[in-house]
Amino acid sequence: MKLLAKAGFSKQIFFKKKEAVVGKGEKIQGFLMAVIPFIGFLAFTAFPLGLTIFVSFTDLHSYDLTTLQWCGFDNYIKLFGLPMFKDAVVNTLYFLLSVPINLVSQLFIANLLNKPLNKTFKKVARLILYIPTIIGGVAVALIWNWILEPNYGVFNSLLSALGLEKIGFTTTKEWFMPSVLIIKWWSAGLNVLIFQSALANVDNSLKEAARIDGASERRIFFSVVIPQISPMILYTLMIECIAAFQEMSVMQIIAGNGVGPSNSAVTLSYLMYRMTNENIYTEGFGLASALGIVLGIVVIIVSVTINTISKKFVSYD
Amino acid sequence: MASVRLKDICKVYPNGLEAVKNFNMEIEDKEFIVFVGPSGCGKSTALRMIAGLEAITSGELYIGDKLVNGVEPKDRDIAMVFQNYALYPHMTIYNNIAFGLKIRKVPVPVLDEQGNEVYETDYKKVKELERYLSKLKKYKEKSNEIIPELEQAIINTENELEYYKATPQKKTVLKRIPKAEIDRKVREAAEILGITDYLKKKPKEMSGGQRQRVALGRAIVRQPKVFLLDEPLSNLDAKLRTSMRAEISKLHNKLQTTFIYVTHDQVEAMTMGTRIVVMKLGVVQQIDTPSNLYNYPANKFVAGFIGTPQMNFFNCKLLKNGAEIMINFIDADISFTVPQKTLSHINSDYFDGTKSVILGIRSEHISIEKNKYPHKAKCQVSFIEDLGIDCQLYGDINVNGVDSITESPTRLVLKAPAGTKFNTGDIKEVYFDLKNIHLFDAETEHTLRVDK
Repeated sequence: MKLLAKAGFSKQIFFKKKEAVVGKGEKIQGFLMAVIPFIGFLAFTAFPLGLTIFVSFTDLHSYDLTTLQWCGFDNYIKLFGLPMFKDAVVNTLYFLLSVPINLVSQLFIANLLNKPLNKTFKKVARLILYIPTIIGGVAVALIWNWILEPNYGVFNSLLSALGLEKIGFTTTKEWFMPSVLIIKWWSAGLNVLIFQSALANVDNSLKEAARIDGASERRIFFSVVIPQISPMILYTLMIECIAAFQEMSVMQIIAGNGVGPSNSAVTLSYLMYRMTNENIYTEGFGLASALGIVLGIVVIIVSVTINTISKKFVSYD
Repeated sequence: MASVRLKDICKVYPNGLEAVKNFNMEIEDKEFIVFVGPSGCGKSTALRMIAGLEAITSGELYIGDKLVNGVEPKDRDIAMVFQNYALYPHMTIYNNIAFGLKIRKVPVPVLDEQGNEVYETDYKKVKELERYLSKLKKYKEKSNEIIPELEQAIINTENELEYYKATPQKKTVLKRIPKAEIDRKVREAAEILGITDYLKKKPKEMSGGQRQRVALGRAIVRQPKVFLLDEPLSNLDAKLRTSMRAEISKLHNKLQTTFIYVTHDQVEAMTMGTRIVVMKLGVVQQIDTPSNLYNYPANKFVAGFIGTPQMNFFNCKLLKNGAEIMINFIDADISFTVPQKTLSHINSDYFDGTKSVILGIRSEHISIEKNKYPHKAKCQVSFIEDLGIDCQLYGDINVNGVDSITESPTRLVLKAPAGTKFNTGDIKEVYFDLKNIHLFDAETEHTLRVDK
């Protein structure tokens, strides 16, 4: 002991070190626990990612990797020249509109539902909003497809009963995307719940203090409540943005024929899917991989941008 | 600066809980009023009703001469400091203090082309007064009896209405307070509270005491008529609480504004208040100055609540025997005789030897010093708390009983000199100063004192 002390070890440190020593069994356990997800990451994330990057520089029209031919940046050049690429970009950006529309309205609804209203009304409203999340996006889209059907759909039956002209919600370019946005709006009740819990967590005395300070209800909401729930808003904004870049199912269900009226159902995700299915011989995996990489880079840029800008507005205090 | 009047203020929650029952009080301008009581006594609810954060179920509340039932908090000209400070976490200290000023709009005179002030009838004010008058009249209809305050308010408002109808007023528009003025006010308040160096910081970076100063600053800059403080020191540690207590008292002196302060701590109440309101279960027990509360408690609850250690209470019966009164302890074998003169302020109906009374005596009026007071009793020592400056001796006047851990009706606490050492179970003589006893009815717990 004395020697150790001389060597600069205090008694405490000595014992602390001894305590921190873990058993051999524990070490193996820890190693195994860490290694399983790591193998999973290698096998299902890192390897496919690497392969995609590699394939994007080749010409490949089947699942047989021996058939691939190196082609350099040809796929990327070809991609930007595709006639449908422009449509896909425009449609994907159009669909991105759903993010601000949904988030703002969901926040508004959540705020409304957090007010002291009739309890039964609140429960029913929450149920109505949440059911679409439970039954899933495809089912919701199918139901809406029937509601918006151009000949016998609920809306058009109503319109013709009122003596108005029928509208091709799913068959005209003008109405296609708005219809998609409406459907998307209905299938995102989960955010209302997230916002509701975030709003309920805002310290009531802050609102009271603002009321005494002379702030109006609106002022309290924007100056006190919103900053308090800003981390939640950022989280949902990120998730929704990333999901919106990858959306294709709703458009596909109501389009029926794949591309929709005047290519309005073509999004970047759908374009990628199409390259590996219908157009596998003309376009193929190489081009799809190139598109995947481009889409990935765009999503990363958007996420980083949102994150950077948000630092100014989001308060974690 | 204004008076506050509470007339039969009641608060009943939707679940039927009566939080405040018939609160009547006149708070004068510049007073420092403390609402004190155990948790759940309605003191915070009463304060929140004055603030306008809680609706008043029945009764009238006046700030200044204005009936403010149903008036928004921001129009009551009050400021409030919360227990958890309620600082806006995302704003800097500067913005926290300035927030109330930034959103406020103040009237600024309108000038015509020649630069002269414009005068015209203030229709807005007339309308507002008409609305207020109709509200007052509605209150009058609702109440069965004639309330002089309400009558006066109606007359005042009618006169005011006449005046505004007849006399053109300086025309004004509402404008935000100029930035420079806000800055000046914020810095002034920060200067008073010694937080100038922290203005750029966020609340998270500050200690509890500093945060509470910021909360005070936020209240000061608005120059309210009434300051409301809801347990502002409860979240601070004991040492800081003592120093902040002094600071708030000083602030009151400096600002010369009405303060209403809620606390559960009787020491805070006693040291800060010019008058104290003691509450229990929504009912006001006594409203009085600190020394009157201490010397003349209106009931057993007030007597027990004010003062540490708590007053000793014993069940007794009083019997008049010629010119003397016998005090017979019910739960212990003790009997004292005092001249009737000593108890001349007590309702003599209780001297018949049958009615149960509660005798209250503070620990400082019992001594172990030999023959300090004439009345002697035996006491079994339970334990001693040495506080350094003196000791608190816990004992039992029932010397035959077993020392109980829980409270017993014969438990006795007294102040002994520092360094007193006894063993548990020792039987000692203690001396009672019967000139300083308080007597209460055993059932109603009201004082038996007939004068003050």
